[in-house]
Amino acid sequence: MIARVGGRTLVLGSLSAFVFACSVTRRDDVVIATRVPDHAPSFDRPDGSVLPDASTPRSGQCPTNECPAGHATCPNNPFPCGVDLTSDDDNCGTCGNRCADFTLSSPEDINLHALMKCVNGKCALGCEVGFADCNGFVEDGCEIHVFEDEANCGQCGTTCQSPNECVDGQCACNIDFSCGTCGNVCPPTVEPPPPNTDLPFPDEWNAWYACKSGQCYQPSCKPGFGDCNNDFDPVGRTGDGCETIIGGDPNNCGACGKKCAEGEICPADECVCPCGSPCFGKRVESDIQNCGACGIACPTAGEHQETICDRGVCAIRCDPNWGDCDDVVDCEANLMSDPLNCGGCGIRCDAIEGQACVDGKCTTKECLPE
Amino acid sequence: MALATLTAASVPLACASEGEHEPEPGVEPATAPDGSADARDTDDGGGATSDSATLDAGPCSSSKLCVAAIPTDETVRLTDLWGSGATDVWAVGTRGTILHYDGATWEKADPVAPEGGAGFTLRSVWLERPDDVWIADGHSIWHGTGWKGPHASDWSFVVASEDEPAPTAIRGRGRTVFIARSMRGANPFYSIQGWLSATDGWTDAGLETIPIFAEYFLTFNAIAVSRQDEAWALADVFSSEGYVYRIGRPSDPASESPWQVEEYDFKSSTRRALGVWGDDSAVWLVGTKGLLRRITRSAVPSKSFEIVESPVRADLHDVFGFGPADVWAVGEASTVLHWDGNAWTKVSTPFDHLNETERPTFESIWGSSPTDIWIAGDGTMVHFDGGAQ
Repeated sequence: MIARVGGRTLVLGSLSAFVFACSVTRRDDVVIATRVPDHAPSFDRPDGSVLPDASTPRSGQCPTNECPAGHATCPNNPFPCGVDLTSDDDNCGTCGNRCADFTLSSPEDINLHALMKCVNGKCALGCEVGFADCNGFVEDGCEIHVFEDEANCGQCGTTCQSPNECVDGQCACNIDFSCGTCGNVCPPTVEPPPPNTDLPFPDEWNAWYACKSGQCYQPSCKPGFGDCNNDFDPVGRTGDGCETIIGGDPNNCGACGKKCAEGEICPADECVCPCGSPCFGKRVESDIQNCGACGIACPTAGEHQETICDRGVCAIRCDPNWGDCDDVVDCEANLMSDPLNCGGCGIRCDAIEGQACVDGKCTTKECLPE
Repeated sequence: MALATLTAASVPLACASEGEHEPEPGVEPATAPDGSADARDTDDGGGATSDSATLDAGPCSSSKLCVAAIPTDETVRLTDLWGSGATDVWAVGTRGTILHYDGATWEKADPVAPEGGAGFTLRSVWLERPDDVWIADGHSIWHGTGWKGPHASDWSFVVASEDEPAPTAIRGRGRTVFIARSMRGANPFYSIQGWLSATDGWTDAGLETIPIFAEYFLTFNAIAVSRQDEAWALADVFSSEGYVYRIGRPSDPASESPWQVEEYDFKSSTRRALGVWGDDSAVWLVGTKGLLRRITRSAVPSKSFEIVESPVRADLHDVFGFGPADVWAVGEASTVLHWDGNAWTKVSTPFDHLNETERPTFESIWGSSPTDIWIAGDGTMVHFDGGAQ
């Protein structure tokens, strides 16, 4: 699993999500929460119609101020039962148990590329993308850069066989001008022709001798040109060689006969649909880089928000499980744990004193027999 | 800038789906625009017709707001609305949508696009005379010589390059037209400035503008002309900090610029002003979270708007009025408010029976008179005729 924490992306072990499930038995309904009447609409996405409505009574369930299993009320969290002890890095397993922060550096000021994360109630080592803990020692963090380590390429224990090298986490040939096999080097261009080959091709043929089909010194079209009429005859010296420009030609974009669709352009060797072209279609209604018109980029969103292009107009909406419930235009309310906005703005967990909001629902437990 | 002229291609209307997005007749008891308590409407919406796009073809609310038939589907967002009179009303929106009302029927113009601008969101339309129509679409400034039917309108364009701010709002009075342009974004090749400029009108040679204001990172939401010598512009920075600017004649007679721009305090650091309207007596702002602000003429020198109590917390997108005791505001979740000179009251709409999240947002309001008011929004058009039968 990959998680983004504090601006860094970490590779983590499998994180099991805590699930709180209420048992349901038939019983008279009781009030477990209240909804503030006439709450004005806001741009929180998970409104009451999307999230489970915390104010809806559930049969057999009575309000409680007891935390469900795995949750606790901790001093460093503003909400009752607001801490999930299985995943809270500041309260891992128990209140106040903070997983060590390896984010920046070791005491020797060496970047350990690591962060301790709370997984299943225990602190576990997590690594930045591209790094791994291959020796199992927490003390030296994620000591291996798996993007370039020949003995741990891509993952711990994967060794690259020479002359291959570890390139971006994969064993690959890193010797320039290799032809066919890694290390079989031939020059990128041969002008004039190498020994034992024919004379140079006419300039207008746009051809030379180069690596082709794994062999050096093969008659080939120069980059950006193609033999689209199939008459390139390097032996008989007939035909017009590599007569077609395939770099930038929308009718032969990167290859002979590769025609771009209507409205597309061929800036190099790939067809591209530019904004403003008919092929761009309705993308200006949803593209945050071209919202409503080409070159109108929507601004960056703030905390717990995301920028969207809503039918051609830039807008901001709250991240899932967050809401804009006050007079300030932001997404300040944690709809998962705020007892004043539980599952939606204005839904209060106030059926009894101390009732909490857990996973967007006011806490309940099975009613006691009368 | 590049100047070009195009004539609308003769493309058949894509669709003319009358009656789309028509909810059930208004069922909510409501308050009439005059603020008085209003009994449940006895109009059952029976006036709705399905065979023509005539005025008030849809259901009506108890406040006499009626859904009008328009030849667009509900996925088109109508962003702005303006007219020169009761028989010459224009609305614009997403996908290059242009609608025109001739006093009887809303028609849709054939698709027209300046170079490289197909399907863009038309953001602003303004006209004072039938033969002098202005549109801004974030890509270009359009100028038209009037409605000549859905297949024949003539348009000229000034296309803004990506290193120029995007034209987003146009309003004017008499010979003077104000144009607001917004920053484009973080791309290093894009403009990151907002501009205000003025022009004495479109000429055969094109558009010549006088720059009157520029500031980094500004996105202009609206502009309004309250008097011949005064306009107001609303802007924000990254959808958070809001700004209100007054455009007036310079206090220094020796000033080289014919216009002077001053920032005004609208008493909100956290909300944004989205709509503005004013006349000689007062200027009104509406905005996010039900923001309502007013500055009376005598208070203009104070450079500070007063807070006016709002009956809603919904975002308000536009405001329009006819004097000190007849002002309307519209916005999110089909919100319609009316000011009677003393207080704002909520007005019932034909969408009140829908869940709040299903009600279309009203984006723009304009009227030719107190008894002829149009409201445009997400796939819908609503008309108020003052209760005339």
